[in-house]
Amino acid sequence: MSTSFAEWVRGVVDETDVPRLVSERPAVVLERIARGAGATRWFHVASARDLELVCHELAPGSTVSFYFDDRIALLPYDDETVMRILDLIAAHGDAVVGALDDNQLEISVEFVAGANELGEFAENLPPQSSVFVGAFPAADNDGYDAVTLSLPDRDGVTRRHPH
Amino acid sequence: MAQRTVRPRVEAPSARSRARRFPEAGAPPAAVKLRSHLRRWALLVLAVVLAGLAGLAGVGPAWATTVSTSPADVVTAEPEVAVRAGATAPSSTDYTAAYVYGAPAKLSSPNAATSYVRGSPTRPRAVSWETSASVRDRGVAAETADAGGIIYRTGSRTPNALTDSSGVSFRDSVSSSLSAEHPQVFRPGDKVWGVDTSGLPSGSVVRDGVPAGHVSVYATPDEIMGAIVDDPFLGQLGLKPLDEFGSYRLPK
Repeated sequence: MSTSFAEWVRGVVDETDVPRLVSERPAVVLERIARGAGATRWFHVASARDLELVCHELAPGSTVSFYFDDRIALLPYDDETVMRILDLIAAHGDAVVGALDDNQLEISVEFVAGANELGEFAENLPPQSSVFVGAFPAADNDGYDAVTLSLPDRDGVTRRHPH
Repeated sequence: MAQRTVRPRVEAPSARSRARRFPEAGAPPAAVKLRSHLRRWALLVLAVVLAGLAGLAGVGPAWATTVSTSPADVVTAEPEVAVRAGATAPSSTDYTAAYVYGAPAKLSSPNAATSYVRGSPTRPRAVSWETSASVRDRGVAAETADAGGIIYRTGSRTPNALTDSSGVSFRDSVSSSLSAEHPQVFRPGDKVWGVDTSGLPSGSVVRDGVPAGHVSVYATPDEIMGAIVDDPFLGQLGLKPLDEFGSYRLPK
């Protein structure tokens, strides 16, 4: 990603309350890739440095949501959490389940829709792991618990893209 | 003390002022009727002449000409644009803006809503790209039916994941278009699922091809979920069927 594009991203982010909110609470970040047929990337931002790193990861045209509440909660992977995931599947059809990558920034997410898929996900988890769990969130934008913004394309123009 | 009621004094208008305000009031009734009849006839003759002229000009009888104002026929020149809540409002020198996420999709409206980030070097070229890539395709799609077939998407199948006023993104195959601008979207190990476009509302499927193979769908989450199918081709490819109807996993 070119430096200039990351600067544009940073400029867009800085025009919102995200930097201030990140200094108060960690955020789960959902990036919806433009024209990506449903492709998403997820990040965990707990500091100003994380925010800076994420700005260098985001793609042109993405719609990016920062969630500061517990709609995507970080929980220990135990029986209680498994029950919570199965409840989410029953209520919504599928659930967002993710584990933090080794870089401590990106979250590897699966959209599990049943016990078999959850079992597959759990096979790759180290013992005593914590996982991110929640229903797929809407692109909310109340300026406090959630901030959603549209990123420009590589040429600096913000267009409406399907996501 | 007896109370005295004061009534406003109203004077009857004089004959001269009445004649000035109501010029026909003093005329004989027969003359008034004749003048009224003449006015009606003159209007009728004028209308017939105008209708005849319109017929000669080839626009048909005036009373048969209608103007359609149904929402589907109206092409909006200015799409709805607004700054998101919580974002800084744009000023005359600051072109940064975002779009209302929940705004209703308009099939016939051009997707020409653009905003600019400060310092953007290529403003005019970007607008022309938008015109050629999106406005034309969406306009055509609104007028022609989709040929049918299965289109594919990855990720969640919940309403929150399938809500986008700018369109819901699909591909016409489980392959990915690879370029610097558009990296691979279906990654190894991803869940993919298919939608039969014949089950979607007419005109809601736009095969815009940006990037190659891309399809935009302008339908509600319920309509999209109602058109999900179990594509046997994915099984024949050797993809692993998953818990959810019609979902398969790409090889890792």
